[in-house]
Amino acid sequence: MRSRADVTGANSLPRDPKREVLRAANIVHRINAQLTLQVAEFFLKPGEFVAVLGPNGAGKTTLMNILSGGLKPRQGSVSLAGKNLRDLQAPELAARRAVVRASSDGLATGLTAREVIELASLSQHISQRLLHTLTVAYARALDLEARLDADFGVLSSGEKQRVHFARALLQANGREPGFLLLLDEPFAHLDAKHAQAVTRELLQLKDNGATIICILHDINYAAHHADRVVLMKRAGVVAELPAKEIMNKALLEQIYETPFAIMRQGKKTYAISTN
Amino acid sequence: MKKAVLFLLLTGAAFATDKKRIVSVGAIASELTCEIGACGDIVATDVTSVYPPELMKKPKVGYVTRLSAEGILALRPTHLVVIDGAGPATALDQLKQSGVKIVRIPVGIGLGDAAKRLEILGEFAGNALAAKNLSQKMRADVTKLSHQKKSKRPAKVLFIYARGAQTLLAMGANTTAHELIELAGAANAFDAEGAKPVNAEAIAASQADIVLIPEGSLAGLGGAEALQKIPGLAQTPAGRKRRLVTLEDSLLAGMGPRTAAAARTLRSKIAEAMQK
Amino acid sequence: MFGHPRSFKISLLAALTAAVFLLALSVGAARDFSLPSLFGTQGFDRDILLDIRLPRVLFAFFAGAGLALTGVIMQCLFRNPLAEPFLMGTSAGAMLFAIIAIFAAGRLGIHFHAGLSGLGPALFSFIGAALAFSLVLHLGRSTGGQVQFVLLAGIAINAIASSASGVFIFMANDRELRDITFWNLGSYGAATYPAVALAAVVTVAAAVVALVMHRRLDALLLGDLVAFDLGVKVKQDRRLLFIVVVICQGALVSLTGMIAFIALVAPHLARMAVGATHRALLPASILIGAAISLLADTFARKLAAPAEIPLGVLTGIMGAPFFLYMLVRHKTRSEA
Repeated sequence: MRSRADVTGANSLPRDPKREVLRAANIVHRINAQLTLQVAEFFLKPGEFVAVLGPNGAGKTTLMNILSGGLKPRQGSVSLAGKNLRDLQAPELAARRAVVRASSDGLATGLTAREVIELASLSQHISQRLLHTLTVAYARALDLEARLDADFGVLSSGEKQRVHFARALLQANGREPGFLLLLDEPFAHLDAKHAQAVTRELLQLKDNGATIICILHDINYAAHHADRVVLMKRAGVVAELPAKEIMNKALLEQIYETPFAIMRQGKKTYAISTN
Repeated sequence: MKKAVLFLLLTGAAFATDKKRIVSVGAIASELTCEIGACGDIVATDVTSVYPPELMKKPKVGYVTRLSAEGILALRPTHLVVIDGAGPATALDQLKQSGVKIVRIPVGIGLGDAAKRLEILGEFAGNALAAKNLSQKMRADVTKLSHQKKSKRPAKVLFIYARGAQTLLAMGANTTAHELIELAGAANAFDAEGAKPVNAEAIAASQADIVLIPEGSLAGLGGAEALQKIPGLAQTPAGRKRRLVTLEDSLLAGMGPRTAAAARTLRSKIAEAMQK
Repeated sequence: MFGHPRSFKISLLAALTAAVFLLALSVGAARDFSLPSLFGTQGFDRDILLDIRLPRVLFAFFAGAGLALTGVIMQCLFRNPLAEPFLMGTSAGAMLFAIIAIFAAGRLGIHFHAGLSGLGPALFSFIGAALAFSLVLHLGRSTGGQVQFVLLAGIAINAIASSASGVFIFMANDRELRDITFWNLGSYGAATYPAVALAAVVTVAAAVVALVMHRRLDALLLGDLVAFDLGVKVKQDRRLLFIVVVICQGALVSLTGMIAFIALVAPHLARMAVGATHRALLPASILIGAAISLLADTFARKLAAPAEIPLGVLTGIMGAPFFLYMLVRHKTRSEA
């Protein structure tokens, strides 16, 4: 993968095009005349957990929307499991990938949390009974069981996020090898306990063969859980390296334009912004 | 057809004794039906039929254009006397299919249509001769009036109809009001076709000598005092000299046997008012 | 909320609606029948029942069902509990063309009712509805197709059609004015068997489409983006739903004039009873809409017999207090 600025001299990672879950080429997107994203090349390998980091306005969400098929770029193309996104209709996309967005509309839909989770069945042909069982199982794993029959609109933002996550898990169920999960700041409204529950499920999915791409603000989380980190800034990808190598003071300070300190605590390394 | 026969059989008794049950729709239809002597046979009317006053006590079948088929059939009518334009068409069709005979009356304002109305109803009521006499008398009276010499400077009369206090309409040419004014020997102060909404300027421009207004409209406006306050009126001789003449609402329904007499009354009222 | 499963509740609603249907059939201006005697009528009674009342009651059923259905779909498309099919300009367009037909008949002697089994004026009115709706869609699409722009386009077209209607109202004579007022208040007076057939066809077709799409309607409630993520072909489905609404509501409004509140109130009552998923909401709304329509029309036919009260007066009386209740409930819930 070509980087715009190779700060640390990180090498390109070895690639095998045939096995790529997702491949994007020559992506350019604008809103009016403003450039919002420019990426020459992007790919995802099966079973990997990629974290996308960067300051606000770097184009992370735009990238996510384009990769998920929800946004058509002005130029460029994206292929999911070999098929161009332009050739895939919404139902076919939903069978291959699931998206959890940063925030939910606070709409009073009248649907209950359970009913929102069960909407995953639009792309899944499963029996009512299995649907019901899985819904309860995922709700339990995410500490939502008590809220299943509450009106979705009155849930807290953290609860709403977990409901959408449960829904995505249901979408992925049974399809894990080759399935792609796109997450936009999934931990934004979650406390530590619930963040751990979500992480457990993510790692379980990964073990079953799914690919995960996740926009994060937490550098340490990315370093400790992801396989690869993509750093974005000003509508482009600036660097891309194995997660362990992200603890690089110079790199982080260049990306975030704020001082960092790198600290060791037992076996783990932490980057902390010092301001 | 079978339905009509069944219906006729059931109301057979009524036919045997030539007992009609009439529902009349439209003010002029009701008035004339009574005029030719069938008043006792009327079982119900529409809401616009206010003359003669005894019709007010009869059940009402709704507005001219919003009749209810079932409601009318409930009264077991033998005949339906309607003015042109009554509806909805569906209801009339249903009534016709049920065997009710429909008698249609034209609504034109001229003498020709007025005579035709009497002719049709006379035939219907089995009173053709009486109707003919009425018609001839009407024709003679009206013609005599219209041939009367007009004075060199006839009084300019502005006919105002109030649709609520907000909308005032003046009656121009081709209206029953216009015919009445002409027959009364006066001139219509409003130079236009048909009924038109008027504003202060139009009223002032008319320079009317007299304001002619139906009793219902006057009451609706709030009486003679309220009338005086109408913008534009003060700038006319009618307003300045407070020359106000009223007439019965029902006379506006259309030309009929009462028209000539009404016109004569109007003439003397106008003359009286002009004394002011 | 309630302990009972939804299918039980819907069966209950169906039974209720059937009961109201029988009530409507039994009661009327001509005479009231007792239930058993409904099936053994002869002669005059039978004619009244079969030729006038049965088509009327059937029409009331389908009209109420159809209006409620379009209300559910609109509330889904706009993700707003106050959405109504009238937002799309169809009623204003139908009214304008109905007024033009009223004027043409009176002043130019052009009558539409000859031919087409008396559905002529309704067809003309429907053209107005379809025209207004296409304008709204076109305007909405040219500004990006998002819900708020479609809404604004609807408001604009409604305003234009209303102003044009206003010009005619200004020029109207007494009778035309009354006719226009009656149109605004609505009535099922046009209920002949051909009209019933038309109402039945558009309502059943719309219901079938909506029921087949019920999951997608649920997904659309969460927003276009999330619906897309879940696998809904958002653009195509929204377009299909809009077309269904205009055909169903446009056809019904052309036949009945403006009937207030059924499209707004029935879905809410249904939601309170069976929840928001369309699998239950659609049949429940249809049944409740039909029941309200039948009940209101029965009052309309009976209370002032032998005259008829315009239907809109009764749906208004029945609907307005409920509407207020809904607003208060919404307010207290948002304060909670």
